[in-house]
Amino acid sequence: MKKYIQKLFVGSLMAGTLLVSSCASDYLDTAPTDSTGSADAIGTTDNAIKALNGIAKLMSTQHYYFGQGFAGENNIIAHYENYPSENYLYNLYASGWSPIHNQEFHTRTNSIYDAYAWYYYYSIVGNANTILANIDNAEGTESEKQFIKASALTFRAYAFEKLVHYYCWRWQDSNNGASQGLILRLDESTNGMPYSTLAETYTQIYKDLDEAISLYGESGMNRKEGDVWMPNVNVAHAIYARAALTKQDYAKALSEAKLAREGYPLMNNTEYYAGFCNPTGEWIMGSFGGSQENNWYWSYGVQFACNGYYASTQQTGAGAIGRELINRIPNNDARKALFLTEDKFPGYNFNDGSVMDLTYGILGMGEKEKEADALWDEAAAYCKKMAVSGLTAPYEAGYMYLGGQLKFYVFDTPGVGYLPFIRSSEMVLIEAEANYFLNNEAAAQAALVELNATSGRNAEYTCTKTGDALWNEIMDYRELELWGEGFAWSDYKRWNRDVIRNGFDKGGNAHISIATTIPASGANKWTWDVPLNETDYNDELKVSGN
Amino acid sequence: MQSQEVSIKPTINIVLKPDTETLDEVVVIAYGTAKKESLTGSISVVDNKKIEKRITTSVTGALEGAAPGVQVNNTYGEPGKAPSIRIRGFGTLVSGASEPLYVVDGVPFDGNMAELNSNDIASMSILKDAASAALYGNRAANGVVLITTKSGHATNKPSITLQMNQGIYNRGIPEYDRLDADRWMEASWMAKKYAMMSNKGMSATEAGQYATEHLITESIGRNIYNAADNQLFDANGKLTASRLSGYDDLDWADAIERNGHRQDYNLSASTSGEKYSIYSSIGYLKEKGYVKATDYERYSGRINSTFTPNKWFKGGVNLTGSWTKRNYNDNATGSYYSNPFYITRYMAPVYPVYMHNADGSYQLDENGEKIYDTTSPYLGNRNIAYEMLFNKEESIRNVLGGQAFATITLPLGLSVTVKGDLNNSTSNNKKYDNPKIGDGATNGGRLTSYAYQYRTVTLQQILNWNYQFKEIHNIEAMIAHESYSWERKYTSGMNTGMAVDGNLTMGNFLTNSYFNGSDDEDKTESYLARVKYNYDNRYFIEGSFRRDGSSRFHKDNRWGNFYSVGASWNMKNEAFLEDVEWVDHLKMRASYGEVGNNMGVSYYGHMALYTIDKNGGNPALLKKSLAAPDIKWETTQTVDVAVEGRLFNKLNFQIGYFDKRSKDLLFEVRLPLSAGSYPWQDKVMNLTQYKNIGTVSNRGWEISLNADAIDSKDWKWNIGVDATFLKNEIVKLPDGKDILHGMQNYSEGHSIYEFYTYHFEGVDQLTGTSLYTLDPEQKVKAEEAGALVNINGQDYATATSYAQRKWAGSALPTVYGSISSALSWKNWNLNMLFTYSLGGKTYDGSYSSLMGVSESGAAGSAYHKDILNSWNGAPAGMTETSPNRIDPNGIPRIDYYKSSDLNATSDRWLVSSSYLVFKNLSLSYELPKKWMKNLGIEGLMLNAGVENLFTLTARKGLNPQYSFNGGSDDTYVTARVYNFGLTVKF
Repeated sequence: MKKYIQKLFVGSLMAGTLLVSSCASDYLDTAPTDSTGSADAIGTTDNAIKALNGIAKLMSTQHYYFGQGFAGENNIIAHYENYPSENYLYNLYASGWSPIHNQEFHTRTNSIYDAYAWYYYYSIVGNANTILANIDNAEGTESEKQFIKASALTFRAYAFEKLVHYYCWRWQDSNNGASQGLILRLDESTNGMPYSTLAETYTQIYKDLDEAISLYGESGMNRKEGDVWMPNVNVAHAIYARAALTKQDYAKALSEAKLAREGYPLMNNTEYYAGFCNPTGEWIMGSFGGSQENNWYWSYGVQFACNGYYASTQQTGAGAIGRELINRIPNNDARKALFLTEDKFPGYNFNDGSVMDLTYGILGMGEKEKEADALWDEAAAYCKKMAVSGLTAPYEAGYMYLGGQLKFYVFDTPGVGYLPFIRSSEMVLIEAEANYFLNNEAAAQAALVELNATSGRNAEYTCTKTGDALWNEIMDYRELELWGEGFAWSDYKRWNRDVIRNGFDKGGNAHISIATTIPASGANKWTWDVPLNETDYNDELKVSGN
Repeated sequence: MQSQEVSIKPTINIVLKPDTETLDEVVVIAYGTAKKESLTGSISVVDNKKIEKRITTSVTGALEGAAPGVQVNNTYGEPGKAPSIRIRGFGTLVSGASEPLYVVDGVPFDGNMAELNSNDIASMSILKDAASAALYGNRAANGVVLITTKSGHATNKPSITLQMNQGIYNRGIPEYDRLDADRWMEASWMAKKYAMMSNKGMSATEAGQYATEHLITESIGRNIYNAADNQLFDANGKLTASRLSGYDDLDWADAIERNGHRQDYNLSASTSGEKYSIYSSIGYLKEKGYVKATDYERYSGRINSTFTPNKWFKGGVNLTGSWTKRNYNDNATGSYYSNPFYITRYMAPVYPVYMHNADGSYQLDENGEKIYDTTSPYLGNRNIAYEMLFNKEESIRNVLGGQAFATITLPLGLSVTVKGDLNNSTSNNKKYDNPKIGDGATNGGRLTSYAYQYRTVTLQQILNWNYQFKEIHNIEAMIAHESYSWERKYTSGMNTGMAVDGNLTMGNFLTNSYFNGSDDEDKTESYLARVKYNYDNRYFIEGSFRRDGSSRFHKDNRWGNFYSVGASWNMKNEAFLEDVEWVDHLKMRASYGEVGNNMGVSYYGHMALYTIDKNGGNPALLKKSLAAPDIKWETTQTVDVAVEGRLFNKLNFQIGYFDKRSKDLLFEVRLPLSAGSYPWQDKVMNLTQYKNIGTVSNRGWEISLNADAIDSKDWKWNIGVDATFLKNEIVKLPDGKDILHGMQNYSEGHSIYEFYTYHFEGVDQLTGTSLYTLDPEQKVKAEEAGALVNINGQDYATATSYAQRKWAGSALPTVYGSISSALSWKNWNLNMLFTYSLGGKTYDGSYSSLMGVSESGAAGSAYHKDILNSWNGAPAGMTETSPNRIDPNGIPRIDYYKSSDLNATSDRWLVSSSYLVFKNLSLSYELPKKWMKNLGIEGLMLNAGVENLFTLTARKGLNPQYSFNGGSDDTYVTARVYNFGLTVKF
């Protein structure tokens, strides 16, 4: 009996210990403070607006995996559009970047340069899809839901439309859209998924935009004044115009472009000379820039603004325009004043190395020291004259290139500024291009006059050109107007036009490593292959490529 | 049997013969202590005798070479950094989840190991198998290191020990062999020549001429020779000019390295009596690293006490505190411009640190001092030597820990122990970028200030029961509950625009850039139980059970059950061995157990989350992670069998086999890019989702032998060797599908760190082009891109984008271990320790960078000496159809334009990781006691030692102990430390 009691005692003491000491039932429930649950994020329309703003953030924030210079749209502009184009030169680093300039990486599916655009635009698609999948169940008014839904659809269409530029064949090569299109992921799924055709892809983009435009209308709402990083109905129309243009659906492009720029009149020359770092009246969409949200050395302006970090401290300059292109533009064009061109410095020989080196085209680095110094002084004086009041002066490092730009500025170091994505000028140029292909030459001419003369950029501009001459004029002004804003490579691809860069020996200003011709038919039909990080993890895709 | 207590008994400090393990030893085990003879699992003990010989700031450094089954890396290069440890291989697929659990005085330790003073450590027990570790179920899958601090000695009079160490500290692994300025210039000429041929189609003569004309202006940007820029070379690229005198500042390492200094002072006092024991100590340590501007300073103190006022009550308090200050450089990794190791390694040998005049002499400022070059374009507006003088990165940590326990002894062999441990620490950090040059230059200087507060609370309630009957049946039982909570509060802010020079406080920086912060917590709750039984001290069995809940998993899958069983047989106590004289001890043991791991999941791993940020001044939410409600504990099952003993009164041996199988591995499964990604993730491009997938096994043999080769009155010599043969293998993956991750691939039947990359076939002797195995499916693409070559009927790719990935060997060694020798003659002791590792490969990224060339930005980088052997024209008689057209060991031509393809990531850069390190050499002399007696000194000991005397590797410069997975980096290498010490006991 005693033994029995002992055992009972021991047993009950042990059980008791555990019972007494157990923690409360919610002891193990923890939650983070730097994030919120996804149910909350789209749980109310108030929060869903913040998730929309998160998509805008994606377009200008650092993408850590890829490193410096990869902060959303800025990298697309620099690496996918500027570098491989004909008329954007960044000579000092051209030797290192020549494979990108020369479009040699299109089939290198294991490279980050191939993966980035795919990765980045599908991040936008993924965030938009989550909003679209959950917004109907969110708390909030119907009109808020409609506006949010329209905005998410606009973001998604924006991303799909851009993806087509880089990862699909030209429409004209597609056999009416039968060639490989995108992976049309429209929900929150994460599994493997096959490609749609290019035609199906455009159908989806059109569908998203049709729905968005009608929802904007029903909601009766617009984005907050000045929030250019958020979408609205004009943005939807603008993307529609772009998509239609790329699909060679010119009538649609024309009508959408007109709708897109309603309420966004072309800016005047004062605004044009303000440094492209703050929105003007014609910015339909762009990214936010602010000192309190400094992207430090990752932003576009760090490298590509004439008063950015590099231009201020190093010998890189901040990008230069193609010499032949800018020489074709009349000297009295206000836009030409934003480039360091030969006509501004008469009396110097730019071809014999006397006042400018013939490797990079740096003004004042010539063999005749005195003349070279004189040119440098003139160029520096010109930069000073053009400096935007209130902003740091351009090219403080003293390295000014032939064709060097004075278009893009930053308003705080090392690269703080807004960045334009869609401007009304682009819409006018879409109208010109669409009208030209609709055989409506007079309207095309009129569009050019509106862009160049009416706006005051060149008040004396008139256009009577027709046929190929008119077409060349449209292309030249599109290149000039949108230079450095992320269009040039896609334009040449759509135009089926060779990139021809000439070195200094042939009257151009391209570094020797990129002084070459990239035929429109080459470089994998100017199409990046789908990156390995898609195909390796998507079992519906057998082999990458078209 | 006496009742077991949780705290540490004074009897642990049994003085052993060097490296000899006896069975009477009491070892610290999970939630208690045990006689070594009763162990059924695999536990290695490192006592303070072993620790004292080593010169380590982090006590875990002393684990290297101390026991089989333990691998140590990242050894002690940066002041204040603790090494990383792996026990019996790699049982998880997630980085950061393979570290063992550290338990200090019975409580999980989450602090910085360097903050524990090695001198306060009495012993470390390494629990390697699941049966030993099972009672630490939730975090024991990677093994457990139990660290026990000293307690008052079982002496009857108070004693004081004073210890002083002085040391010199420099780099223990030499730099790679790199070209000097003249050879480098000639190599650059060749790179220019071949670039003009491959890119511009020039003839060899034209290209050579172009190189002579343009090399300085286009590719180098600096001429330190006594001839004009375009007149440095003859037609064959031989340098004809000579270097201007005065350029003796071309080795940047000289500008940033120094002889470091290490000093360490400890004073400890202890006393004990029948009813109490007290140990107290204070310590001061200062290390100046071998790189400028890096140092570590530590003040530490500890009081451990136990009191036994009466028969039924025992209590104790341990208090510990430390203050540490670290100056460091958190950019000392990867390709940052502010990484001193990156800059010094790759700086071309023609770029000086200081400004020079045209004649090569130094430019001097008004005070006659050399001026740092902060203006030359090829330096990219940076000068690391200058920046290191003016930037500052400082971390100050305060740690205060307290532990208290009370044990009440009840009748019937029962006792109850309650133990609480509270550890508070703060870390205040400051990062200053100067306004003149570098990251802070554009904003007038910037200061980042960030702080962490940590708080860890552990509570244990333990009930023990010991019972013996009929003299031969011994039973011990334990049941307990434990809760653990960890909290972190973080704030961080940055201001720019310094007002007054030299004032590094936030108020002196006028413009706010950001200010943010967040709180985190991590919790577990556990129930545990153990039963041990032995029969006549011959047959031992034990079993344990633990149930754990973790806050990292969803409510429904939060709890995991873990258990173990073990048995041992002390054969020497059997009648048939009692009279066998040559067998001194013999024991067999076997165990099986299951333990868990939740470290592969982030704190809120099961939740779908949106990050909170801002854009345009408004809130912005970004999709960060997907929900994973189904994830649960990773489980590791270990079988462990061993025989150990001592023979001929000379030879100690231990031979064991283990099979450690980790299943339901937690893994971040990569999703296709089209599923969207998260921008603020720097490790993986794809979005990932946690899943329990797959099984990994680590199995192998551990052998440990040591012999008393000489054991006479004056001479004693013990030599020992241990070896661990380890085979790591992925047993199961979902649907058997491979999972690629970078250069490696998870695949069934292969190890987790097995390289899977492009295969370098060799160099085409006609063109000097690198050839890679073609991916047949990419043939058309390769041809279109001009990256296809057919040689003698076989297709090859000349760019890896079209090449096929193949298995290329594992990063893991076949066998690793140590060799030791302990020799003593009278009062002299000479100890040596070598560690080795055989097999396995490292991806030598640094070598690969030194073999590549670039002229981007009109600046070059340093080259490895091997570049002198690169292809330079087709060998005589080589034709298109020559059978030896491909040289598999060739080095491709050096070519600015094609360098990235010629030197692409491939198995060409894999090199053997095998190494032999002379880890420790120490000589000590203890002055005869009779000399001291009159002075009232108990003992006086002098010692001298060297840590990391040398490292032998396949390639000079390679750090074979950088990582376990075969990676490499440009960062700190193991330091060599010369030390002189003096110990006085009163």
